[in-house]
Order: sequence, then structure tokens, then C-alpha cells
Amino acid sequence: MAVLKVEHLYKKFRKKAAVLDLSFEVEEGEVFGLVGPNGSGKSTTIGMILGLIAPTRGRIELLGKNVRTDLISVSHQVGTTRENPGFYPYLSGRDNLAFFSRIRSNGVEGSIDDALKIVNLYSRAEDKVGTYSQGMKQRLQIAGAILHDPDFFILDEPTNGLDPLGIREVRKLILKLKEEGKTILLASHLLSEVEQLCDRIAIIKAGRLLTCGKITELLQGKSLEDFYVGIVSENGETGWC
Amino acid sequence: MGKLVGAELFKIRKRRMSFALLGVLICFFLLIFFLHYRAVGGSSASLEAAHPLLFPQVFALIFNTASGIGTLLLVILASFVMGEEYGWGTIGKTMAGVVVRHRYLGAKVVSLFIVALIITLISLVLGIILGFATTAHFSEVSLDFVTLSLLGKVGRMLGGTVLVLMTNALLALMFVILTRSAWWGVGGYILYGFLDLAITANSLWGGGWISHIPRYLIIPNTSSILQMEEGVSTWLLHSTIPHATVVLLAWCLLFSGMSFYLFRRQDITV
Repeated sequence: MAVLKVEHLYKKFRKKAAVLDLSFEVEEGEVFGLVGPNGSGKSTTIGMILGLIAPTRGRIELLGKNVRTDLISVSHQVGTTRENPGFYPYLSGRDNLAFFSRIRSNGVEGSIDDALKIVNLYSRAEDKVGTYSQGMKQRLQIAGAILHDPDFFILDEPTNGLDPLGIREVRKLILKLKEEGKTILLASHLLSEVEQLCDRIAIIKAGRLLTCGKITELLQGKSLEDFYVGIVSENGETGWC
Repeated sequence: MGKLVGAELFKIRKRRMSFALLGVLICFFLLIFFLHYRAVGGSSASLEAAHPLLFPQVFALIFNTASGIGTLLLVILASFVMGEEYGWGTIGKTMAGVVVRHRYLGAKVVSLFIVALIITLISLVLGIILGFATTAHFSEVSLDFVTLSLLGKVGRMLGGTVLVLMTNALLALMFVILTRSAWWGVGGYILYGFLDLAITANSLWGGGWISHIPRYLIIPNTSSILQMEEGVSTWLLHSTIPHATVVLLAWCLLFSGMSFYLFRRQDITV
């Protein structure tokens, strides 16, 4: 069953096309990688999935609901991290999580401590987010994503700003979520991360889908880096995934 | 909606800026009263000269000061409360399926209204304390001036001050949403102020329909709505209190309508 369906998605910012006829599906229980160079349209696509950016054309179905009309009704089943972790710098880490949990209406405040422990931020929970490093903000974002125990995760560059140990912890966490049967959409330009974590990938460039499929079938013994460089340097054709 | 308004007020309460602005409000009130006290001649002033500092006339000073400094403070707060959501990227986090856009903006507007009310009430309490001090200084304090008619006027001026504060805060909010920048909220308010005053001043020399324009602008109607007694005429006064109320309400509706429309259509890329 498809948890996320993206169908013929277009987005133009004034005259510049950011996403062009993008279609893919994310199946239940898989880790799906959205891969592409900087500026390829990954974050714009995620922005459209999260209802932040209105598509010029196309349809997005998340957990069976049309994102443009019914996103709120399924949002409690979705945990997200975004490229730019947005927090109130004058609130503590705990207050930030409590704030977003409270306005979500079905947030469970009791799990804040657990979420903070998972991302190793429990000891700094009372410090203001303004004093956090980029990596700590990223970890706090992950704590926010797992806080309400959703079934589907949309993770946009989740290891952005993390040190090698932090990256390893996040990878472990994603694998743990996968073992628990959670579905994950992972947008990243870190190929080693994608290769280790994803079941299927879609490679996009300049807003167009170049290829999409099971990672083992696509690579056929090659490394993802070789495959990626090969396909991105050519002019790939758009297609349906 | 109540929960969202509570969340907005929680954020305002937690900001250092809110307390700094409150401090500015208190200092400004003390300064205005001190300057007026010096202007009427200090301790040697006659009772007649000190009239504006004594009850009940002091209410005009209280509400005019509250609307002047209160507007500036609320505009700054409104601009930063909304603008920094774009700057910090928290707007993206909140709008990502967590809260419906019109409810989010509605909560911001309601929380700003509550802050406008708080600013006006603090100004009133502060002004009454200072008014008692000046009245005691120049004559004897008595509550004989308290009449139903005066309470009605105070209530009307309190409502008028809140309306003036909200009109300008909504103007700033609209500019912030349009530009996604806190500074443009303050800048837009200043820009509008210059335009408003320029048009009003210009209309003094123009005849015909041009002279009627200030009847529909914010600053002349602010002056009208904060009059203690109707019928006093100055170059800024172009309308009656009911007319001023309707005009300011219309501006509020226009600014909030534009804000909701722009916010609903806006792509949030932060």
C-alpha cells in the first residue's frame, strides 16, 4: 500500500521551474530515498508534501488524503525534519518541544523526556535553543519528529550539521524506525547515507525524475556514487516511478 | 483556537523584548508627566496652568500618551512576533501540517489584541497613579470628579486607544507577511505615517475633494477618536468620534483581510 503518492507534480516560482512532472510512490514500511544535487528540487518537493508550498499542478496523496485539503487530518501520523531546523531561540529545548507538541493538539508531553534521551539532549534540555550548535538543533528536530510516535517520517537532510558520531546515531535511529515497520522518506545528497539506509530511491535533477527503483536493481553491483555520477551527468529522461 | 492564542501569549511572555517594551512604556509615561509638569511651571505653577495634569483632564493626556507610545511598541512587537517566525524558520515547522494557516494567523491577531488591551490598561493604571500624584501636588485629592459621564468617556477613550493600537499593529502585520521581514513591519508603519501626515498637511492647501481625503486616513481619525470632548477643532481633526471609529474599523478589516489573503496564498520556503 502506498503511504505517499506524488502524481505529475509541477512547481514554478515565477518563471523558474523548480519541479517538473515529478511522480513517485512511497510504500508502507520502506525507506525511500529522494536523491539529487543541491537545487534539484528535493526541498521544494518536500515543502509541497508538507503543504508549505502550493504545487502549480499535480496531486499529492499522503496516507490516503489529499494534501491540499486534508493534510491536518493525517499530520499526527507524520514526523518531519527540515533542512533548516526552526526553533525559538529564547525557549529551552524542552519548551520548544512542549510548544510544538501542545499546538499539535494530540501531542503527548510525557514522551518529551524519552525523545530527548534518544537524541542525547536530555542534559541540555533546559538550555535555551539559542545556545545550541547546529548539530544539537538537528538532534532536537529529530526528537520533535519521533515525539508523537508517527508511522511515517519525512526527513529532509536529517544529518545536516551533525558530527560523525551524530551521523552514526541518526543512521542507527533510522534503521531502528525501519525495524519497527515505520515508513521513511529520506531526502539527502549524502550518497553513503542513502546507500546504507534506503530500499528504493528516486534521483532527481533540475526538478525532473531521472530514475527510480529498488536500490539493488538500479546499482547492479556498482556503487551508488558511480551510478549517481553517471546518471546525473547525462540528461536523464523523466519517467513514472 | 484558545490553545493557539495561549501558545502565542506564552511566546510573547517568554520574550525579553516584551519586558523591555513594557519598561519603555513606563519610562515614557514618567517622562511625559515630568515634561508636562516642567512645562506648566513646575511646583510654582498655578492651578489653572496645571489643569491638564489634574483629574479629570489628565485622562486625555493618559490616552494620548498610551496611543502614541503604545502604538509604536505594539507595532515593534507585532512585527517581530510575526517576522521572526520567518527568520527562525519556525513558521515552516508550524505550518507543516500542524496548524491550519487561518487559525494560526487568527491566533496571532487575537493575541495582539490582548496585548493592545494590556498596554492600554497598564497605561491607564500608571496614568491614574501619576494623575493622583500631580493632583495631590497642586490641590487636594478627592474623588468628586468621578461621575458616570466621566466613566463613560474613559471607557470610550480606552476602546478608542485599543482600536488605534490594533489598526497600526495590523498594518505592520500586513507588511511583515508581504515582505517576510520583521523590519519591514516597522518600516511600513513609518512609511505609512509619513504618507498620511503629508497628505493631511497638503490637504490644508487644497480645496475640493482633496481636502476630504484626511477624513479617511488613520492619523486624523486617531486624533478624533481620542478627544475627551467632541467639537474641539485642530488642523488634524477632520471627523466625529463615530466616523473615526468606523474608519479605523474599516482599516482594521482591510489590513487583516489582506494579511489573511496573502498568508493563505504564500509559499513557505523557510
